[in-house]
Amino acid sequence: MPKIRIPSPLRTYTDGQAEVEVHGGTVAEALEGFMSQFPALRQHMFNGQGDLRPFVNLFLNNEDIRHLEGLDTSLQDNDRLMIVPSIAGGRGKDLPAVDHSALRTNQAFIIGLSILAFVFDAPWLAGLVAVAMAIGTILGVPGFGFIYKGLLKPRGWVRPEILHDNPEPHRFAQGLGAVFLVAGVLALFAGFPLLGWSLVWLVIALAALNLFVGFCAGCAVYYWLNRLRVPGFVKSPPDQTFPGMRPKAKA
Amino acid sequence: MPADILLRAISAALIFAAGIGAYWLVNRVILARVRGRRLGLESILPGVPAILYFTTPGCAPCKTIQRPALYQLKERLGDGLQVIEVDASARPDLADYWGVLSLPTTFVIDSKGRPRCVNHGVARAEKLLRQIGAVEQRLAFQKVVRNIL
Amino acid sequence: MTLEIPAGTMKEIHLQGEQAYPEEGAGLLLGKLDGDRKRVLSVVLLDNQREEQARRNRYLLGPGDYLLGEEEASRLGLEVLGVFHSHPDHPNLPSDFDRDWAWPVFTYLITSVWSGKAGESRAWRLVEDRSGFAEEPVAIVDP
Repeated sequence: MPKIRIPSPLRTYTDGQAEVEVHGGTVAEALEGFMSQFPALRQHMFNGQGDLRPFVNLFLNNEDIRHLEGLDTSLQDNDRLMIVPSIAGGRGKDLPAVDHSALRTNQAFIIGLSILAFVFDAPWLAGLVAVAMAIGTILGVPGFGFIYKGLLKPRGWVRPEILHDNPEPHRFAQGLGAVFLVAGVLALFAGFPLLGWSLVWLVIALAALNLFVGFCAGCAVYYWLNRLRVPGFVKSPPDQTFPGMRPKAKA
Repeated sequence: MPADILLRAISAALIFAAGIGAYWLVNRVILARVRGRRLGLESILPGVPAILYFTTPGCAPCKTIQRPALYQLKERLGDGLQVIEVDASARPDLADYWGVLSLPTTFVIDSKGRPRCVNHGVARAEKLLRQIGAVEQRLAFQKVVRNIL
Repeated sequence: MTLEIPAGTMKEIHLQGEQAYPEEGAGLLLGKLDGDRKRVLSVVLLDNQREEQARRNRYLLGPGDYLLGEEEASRLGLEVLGVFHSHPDHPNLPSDFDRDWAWPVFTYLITSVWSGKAGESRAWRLVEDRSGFAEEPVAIVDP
């Protein structure tokens, strides 16, 4: 009778046995029989598609069956099958590298130039900022990042801070700002200064929150979208508060 | 023209100040709301400052900036700090209860269990360290004052 | 299930993580099962078999390494209890990749190594339906 040797992590599923007799003309048949005997093993050895999981190695008389005929390899009476684990893992894919100093330079310029535009009543300057942000969003870079890259960084005036991060929320935040700013500039040129400058100040506020508070607008929006899409999936919160917005009477 | 510009410059300064004031006020309100609240802090040990940290699996800065900052802090302070991490998507009730507006959010809780600071965004290790220091100093000062009086 | 590790052994594990930095280091935990305690009594330090570019965020111990581990365990009268590996500049939490490649029953001890210095280690065991990990408290014992 062919036998199959079981590694220690699977022995709890085989009532502690380190070696079990199997039956079958091929490795596949023997494994099927083995699974029917100990069904709890199946999900650890095979994936949802019925393939052997990549970390499960099968050796037939000390040869990896991948070098033979795989699961179709025929089985003789005195054969010994061995399940030998591969051990793998890891922290996973690195997020891309994002230079946060470039982001902060961008925010500083957006804030500074927009405030100057307000003080000097210069809608064209706000327009310039809007264009820079829009182009930046399309290209996937911080709009004023070129100042950091071309001047501040090489001169050592601003030190790089490279972190593994998702560039998407930052791109989204800049895009959102660009939209508001373009709308504001259009309002200004259309003769609606209150609306126009309000929108400009909105963008300044968002950029300032980001620069001074570390408030990630992208994360906030993703968080809220997530929340709104899930209607009461948990028991009702202690206060029936619209999330965080209004303080409620004592619980 | 110069008078105009001056006026607008002053308005700009006022708007900025109002913004800072509003932010400060929102934080005071949030902290006032959670004063004395215990939900989420069941596992907290008394006598040790704590950081209550809200995150979600999808929040990248939480993983790449906030969490490493908290780890560094924990390495630095060892048993002098406890970090309680809450998945806001798994516990929206807690997130509401604590008035979480975005992520990451960290609450600095003093060794008496009182929430004293809130950060609505990534808070670097140095900032949290300063906040913990200030919060504990204040407690020590209050103790000294009480002893004197 | 608590994982008991002698202080000296934990140091060995941390040292290997620091030496492997910025790559991931890995090895096997050998010891005895004692009721609800897993007592680590020895470790097998191994080389990350991954190709060079991937070693910063992936580790691999091949079947040959595993057999070495079981041989050593049987020589010492012990069992293979689990695996330890490091996460360079990353928290000591199991990733989705860790989960995809995890064996049941084994303890996975993950150490974060921040800028070349080993931080804390946490122990994890795959839950039965493979949906995630349950944490196992780690107890450092003398010697």
